[in-house]
Amino acid sequence: MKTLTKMLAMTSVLALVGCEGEDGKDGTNAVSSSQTPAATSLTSTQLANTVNNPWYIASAQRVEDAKAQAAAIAKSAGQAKNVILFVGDGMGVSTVTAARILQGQSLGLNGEEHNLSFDKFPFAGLVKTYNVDAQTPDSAGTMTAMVTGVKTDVGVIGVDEDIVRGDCSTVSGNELTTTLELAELAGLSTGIVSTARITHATPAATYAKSADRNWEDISDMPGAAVSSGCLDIADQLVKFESLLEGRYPGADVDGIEVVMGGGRRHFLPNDPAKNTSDAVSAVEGDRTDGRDLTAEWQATYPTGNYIIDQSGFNALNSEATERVFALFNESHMRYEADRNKDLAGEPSLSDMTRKAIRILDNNDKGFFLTVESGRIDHGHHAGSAYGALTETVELANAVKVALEETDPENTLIIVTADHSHVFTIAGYPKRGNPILGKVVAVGETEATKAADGLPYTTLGYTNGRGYMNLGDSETDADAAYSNPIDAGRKDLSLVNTESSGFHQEALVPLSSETHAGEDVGVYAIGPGAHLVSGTNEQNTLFHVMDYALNLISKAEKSLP
Amino acid sequence: MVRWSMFRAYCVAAAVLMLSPLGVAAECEVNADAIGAHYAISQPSGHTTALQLWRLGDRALQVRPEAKLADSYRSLSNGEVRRVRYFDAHQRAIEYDPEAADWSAKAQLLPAQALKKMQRIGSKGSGCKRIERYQRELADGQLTVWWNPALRLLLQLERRNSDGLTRIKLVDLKVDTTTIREAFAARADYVSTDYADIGDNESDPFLRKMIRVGFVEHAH
Repeated sequence: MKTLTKMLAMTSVLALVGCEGEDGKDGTNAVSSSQTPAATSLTSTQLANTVNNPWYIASAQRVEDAKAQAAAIAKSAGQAKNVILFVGDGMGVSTVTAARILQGQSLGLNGEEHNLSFDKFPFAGLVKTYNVDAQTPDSAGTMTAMVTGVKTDVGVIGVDEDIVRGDCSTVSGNELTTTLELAELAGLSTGIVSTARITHATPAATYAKSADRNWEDISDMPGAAVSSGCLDIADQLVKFESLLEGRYPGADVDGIEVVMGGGRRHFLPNDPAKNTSDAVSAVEGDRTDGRDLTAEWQATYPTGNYIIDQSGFNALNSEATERVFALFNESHMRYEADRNKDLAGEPSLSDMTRKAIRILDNNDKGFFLTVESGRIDHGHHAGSAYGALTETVELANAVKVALEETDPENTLIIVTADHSHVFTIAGYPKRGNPILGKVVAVGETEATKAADGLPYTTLGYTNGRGYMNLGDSETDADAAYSNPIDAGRKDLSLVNTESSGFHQEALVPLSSETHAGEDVGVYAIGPGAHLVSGTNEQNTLFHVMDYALNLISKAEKSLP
Repeated sequence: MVRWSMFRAYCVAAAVLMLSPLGVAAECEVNADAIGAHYAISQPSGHTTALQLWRLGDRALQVRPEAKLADSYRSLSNGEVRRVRYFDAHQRAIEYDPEAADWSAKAQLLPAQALKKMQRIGSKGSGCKRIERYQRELADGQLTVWWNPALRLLLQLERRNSDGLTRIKLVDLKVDTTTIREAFAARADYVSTDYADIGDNESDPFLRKMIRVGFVEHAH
């Protein structure tokens, strides 16, 4: 053991003097020829071959880097000025791995050795995602856990497990306080960005309290809930400032500075006269109370910018913009792969992230920002690995933007998922095999055949709609819903499984592929990031953010 | 027999047009984008069902009363078509993403390209009451279509093959815009869900049924 330690030390010296060579092999020879101390239990050649190997050197360096970063981060624990929480909706571990390979291969690499932006974060762990009443969770319960510190039931927003789903009368008294609300009370700027409808479960959990995730506007609510005084989710977003001040008497907050996403239909009355230029429905708005919440928001914040399209987004001067309310689509925003087909144009997730940070960082006190990649989940539900993975790559791009736009010494960035999907990387494909391709075994050039004599893809789903070949021109994963379910094995011999319109085989036939119940990853960098390690209950993430910002204490001080 | 059948088809189509408030001018002044056409579809087995086609501007609605299903379509400025399926028995709707599609197939039942591939073998009348007859030989039979070009309206379609005769026949025509608007408005209050969202709605009995057993083609 003592000898091994000496050997490792010698390796470091050789690396410093540049003797290890680019591939590590030259260095191996140098160690074995003249400078290797005598080994007592292992031969010098065996050890040198290990410690001079480039894989070994790179991973050892990663540990050294992590130790250095840990020391620096521990010193600044609790000193974060900003927190950014990235949530990849449905981004399980297999999704991260496959997206990493896809991005790497798009860069001309084998792919497996590539790293997504957040793969390089110094701290990571696992998250147990179950809801209080569900082994396999949904986004409402999981995001509520992340931003409140309290696990709750499936399908409910911002309330604890004492809620009865769908029963308005059980909301009162069971409301939880979120990270975003605490940040508001503490005087930080706040922002919510999502590619889903901004009233969808994940973004809604940051600002709303609802007995049902589907109460996105008043037309979605039962009459009894409306008459009992429960507010729909869109209404709660527009009234966020007054509602928060009502819950905390004496509080004086200034409201959410950045809201960007889809879901215009929940804010507009069901009046065709209120349709916007890229409405896809004959009547875009769903609201049956006649209210135009976009107009109400503008009346509340006359200096704020309400925008609906790419040109409005481009015109925003982030240094001069005090507040923005952006609803880029009637429903969910387009898939990244399909974005150029939008009628009025939509920004990408990374574009929105950059703009949001540049607006929020105008506040010297700091900011809290949630960024959701909402359509990874939808790509998987539709059985499209291409759709889900290209969304994940764009999330990684957005994280890269956040790293570029912030200072790691004062900004905690957490990247995680709310839940996983039944998505697998299977078979024994050789290194560098196209991740969307058919399995080709090590040393082979032709696709491996299964016991049924047919080739099979590396990526697949346990359940869902199954095989579809919609071609290279189809970039909308949801086009699958216009085609019949076709689960089970198919002859893929002549099918280009790497095309954007290919949907993977599925075993169990379902109209929509489902979530999965295994743990998801969490990745962190910045002050407080060292608290992210091991296997965690999902609600622990709230406490990491609270610790980094000292949020509860700051919020308490703001109250009379 | 065939000739008698064709003559009878002409007479039926002419009768529907004659009974409709279409006017007799040489130039048709009826708005072809505001139409309600009711069809009877008969299968070789003798089974007959109804189909309604409603058009209003950039919208089309196809109603299948026996199945308690309806599909609405909207033509978008980028050439895509947006579909919503209505389940009348449940008063629910499922919304699809816009996609590239042949608008004429949704708004006329008969795609414009299909008509171009057929041979015109006769015509009668003028304006709103003009009837054109087209025919095409198929690998396993013959397709005959009676068509009104001014209204872009399928009057009758017959497909004969070894299984027998399948017929789609116009039985009623509405041009009153109030009636047409009411047809489109009838399902406006249904609870509607994006298809992309149904996977997140396991607790909803209607959507759970969709997730587990597929599209509810025959809603009860």
